[in-house]
Amino acid sequence: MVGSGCTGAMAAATLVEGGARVLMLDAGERDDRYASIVPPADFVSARTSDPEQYRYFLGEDFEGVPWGKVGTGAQLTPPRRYLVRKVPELLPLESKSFFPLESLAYGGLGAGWGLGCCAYSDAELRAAGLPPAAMRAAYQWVADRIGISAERDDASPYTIAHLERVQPAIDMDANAGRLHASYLRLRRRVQAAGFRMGRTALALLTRDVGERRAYAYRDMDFYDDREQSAYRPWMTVDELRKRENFLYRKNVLVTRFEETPDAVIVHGLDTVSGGAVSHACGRLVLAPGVLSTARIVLRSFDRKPELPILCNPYSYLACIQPALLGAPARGRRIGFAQLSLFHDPAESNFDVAMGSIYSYRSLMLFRIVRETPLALSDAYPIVRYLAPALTLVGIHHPDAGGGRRSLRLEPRAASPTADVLKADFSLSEDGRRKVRDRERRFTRVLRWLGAYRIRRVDPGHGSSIHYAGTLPFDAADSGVKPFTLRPGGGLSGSARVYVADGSGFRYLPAKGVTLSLMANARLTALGALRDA
Amino acid sequence: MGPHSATTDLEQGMAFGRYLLGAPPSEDALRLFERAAARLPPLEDRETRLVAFLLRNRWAIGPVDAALALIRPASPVRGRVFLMLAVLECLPEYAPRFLPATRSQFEPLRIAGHALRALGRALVGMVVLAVASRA
Repeated sequence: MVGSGCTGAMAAATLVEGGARVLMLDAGERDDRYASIVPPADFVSARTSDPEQYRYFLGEDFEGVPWGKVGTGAQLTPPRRYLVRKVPELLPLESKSFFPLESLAYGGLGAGWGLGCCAYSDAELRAAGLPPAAMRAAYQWVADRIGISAERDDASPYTIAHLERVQPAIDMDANAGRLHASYLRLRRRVQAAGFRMGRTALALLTRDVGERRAYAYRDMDFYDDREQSAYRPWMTVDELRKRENFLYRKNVLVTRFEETPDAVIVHGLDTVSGGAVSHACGRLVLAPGVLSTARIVLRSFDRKPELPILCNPYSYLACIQPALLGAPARGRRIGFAQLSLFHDPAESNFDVAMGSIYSYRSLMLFRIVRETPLALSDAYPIVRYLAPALTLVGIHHPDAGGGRRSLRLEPRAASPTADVLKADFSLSEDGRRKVRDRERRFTRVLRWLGAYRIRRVDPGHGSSIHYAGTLPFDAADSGVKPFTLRPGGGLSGSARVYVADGSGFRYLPAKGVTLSLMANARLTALGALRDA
Repeated sequence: MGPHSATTDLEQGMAFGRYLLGAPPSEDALRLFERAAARLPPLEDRETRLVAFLLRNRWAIGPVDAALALIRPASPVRGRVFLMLAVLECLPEYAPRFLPATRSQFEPLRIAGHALRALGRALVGMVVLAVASRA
C-alpha cells in the first residue's frame, strides 16, 4: 500500500479487515512543532490571553506571514504547513498554468481536508466510470467509519443522498444562519433560478464516538485536531497500526515498481538519507495521490506518454452581508463550510456546480488587510469592521476535460528522482464561458440572499486540490490498453498493481471529491482481495 | 539581521508600530518585529533609501504606504509595515484592536473617515514617492 491519505487509509483498512497482510509505505511527514504549543483554548481566548500566540498564528519561523502572490496552499496555517514539507524537493513539478497542492504528510492532504462530503449521483458515477450500486454501499461503509454530520434538506440529494446513518449537523454561526434564513424565505425564487441550498455535510462529529469527541466550537479548526472531531486519515492508520497484519514504514518515497510473474518489486527513496529502498510484495496498491501515482506509473514503463488530467475549475467570491457589518464576535464560531449552494438548472444532479460557503472568523485579519489597496493603518480598522459580514463562497465547477491538458515526465539530473513532472492545463473556450456564466449566476443569487460580491479571486488551475483522470478507466474493459485502469482499479496490462486514488475517474463532478475517492478506494481494495 | 544594524530594525519597528497604533509599540512588539525582520531578505538600495527617508520623515509613512498599496503592493518597504501589523495582531495587548467589538452607531462614519483618509494619503504619497526617489 503506497500512501496514507484518505484513499490509502480506506484501502488499507479494507485490506486489513479482509485478512491481507499489509505493508504501508509512506513519506509520513508529521507536525513536530505545533501540536504541543497550540493551546486548548478557543480562538478568541487564545487571541486575548496567550502571549505566545504568534508561534502558531505567525509560525516559529514567521512562515505564516504571506509575502508573494496568493496561490495554492496559501491558506495553510503554520501548524498545517507540514502538509507540504519536502514537496518542492521530492515531488518537483513545473508549470505555467497548473498549480496543484501535493503532500508527503502522514495522512496526506486529508490532514488538511475541509471535510465536505458529497456522494455522487448515479449519473455522475457512470460518467466517472464508477459502478453506482457498489459505490452506494461503499459510501455508507466510509460514512460509518469517518462519521458524517448533516441534515436532510434541499442540499442532501447532492451531499448525503441515500446515506442512512449520519449525525446531526453542526450549529450555524450568525453569518451562515442569516444566509440560510434568507434562502428559506426566497426558496421558490432561488430554486426557479436553478439553485438549491442546504447544510454542508461534514466529516465532523457532533456526538462522541469512541475516543473522538463532538465538535466543541473552539474555532481552531485550521490549527489543531485536539478533540479529533474532524476526521483525519491518520486516525485510521493509527488504528491499523495496532493490528498484527499491518505494518507501517515511514520515510519512503515510492518511485517505481517492477512486476515479475510472482511478485511486484517496489523501489523508492529513503526521504531522510536519500538512499535506495526496495520491497517485494504480492500485490501493490497505489494511493499516493493522482499526480504521484502518475509519476510512479510513468517511471515504471519504458514508454512515457503524456497523460491527461482532470481538475475542477475553482474560484472564490468574497461577499459582504451588510446587516452584519461591525457585529461583535458572539455566538458559535465555525471554520468549516456551513452551507452549500448547488447550481443544477436541469435538476438532473449532473453537471452541477457547487458553492461552499464559509465565514471569515478564525483567520487573522492581516491576511485580508494585505490584499486591500489602502494604507495599512486605514485598512485594518476597515477590515475589522467588514470581517463579521464577510462571506466566502468557494465555487467548484465540474470537469469533463477539453482544452489543453497534459502531464509528462522529463529527465532532470538535479532532482532526487532524476525527473520532473511538467503540466499544462487550460480550459476550452466553451469551458471558460460556462465558468464565467455560472459565476455570474452565483453572484446574482447570493445578492438575492443578502450577500454582495466585493471581489472575485482566481487562485489558478490546480487550486481546487481535486485531481483525477490521469489513468482513466478503460471504457472498453480490454484489460490491456496502456496507461488506463480496468474497472475495479487494476492497472491495465498488470496482474498485480492497483490504483486506489482518483486516477481512473473519467469525469470529475464539482462536488467535494474526497468521499467518492474513499469509497472508490474501498472498491479497489475489495477487488485486490478478490484477485488474491 | 540583514544589511541594517539591529538598531535600524528597531527604529523601523518603532516607526512603523507608532504609525499603525498611533502610539509607541510595546517592548514585546519591538522584540518580535526584530526577530521577524531578521528573516526577511535584504532590501535593495532603492528601498533602503526609501526606508531611511521614512524614518527621517515619519509623517510620510502613511502617505507612502497608501501610494505603495496602489502602485507597488508587493513592495518590500510596505512588506515591513505589513510585518509589524501581523506582529501587533498576534499580541494579546493589541488583540482588541483586531477583534470585532460592540457596534457603535458612529462606526460607519469612522470607517468612511478611514477610507477618505486612505485616499487622501495615497494622493500625497504619490508626490512624496516621486520626491523621495530623486532624493
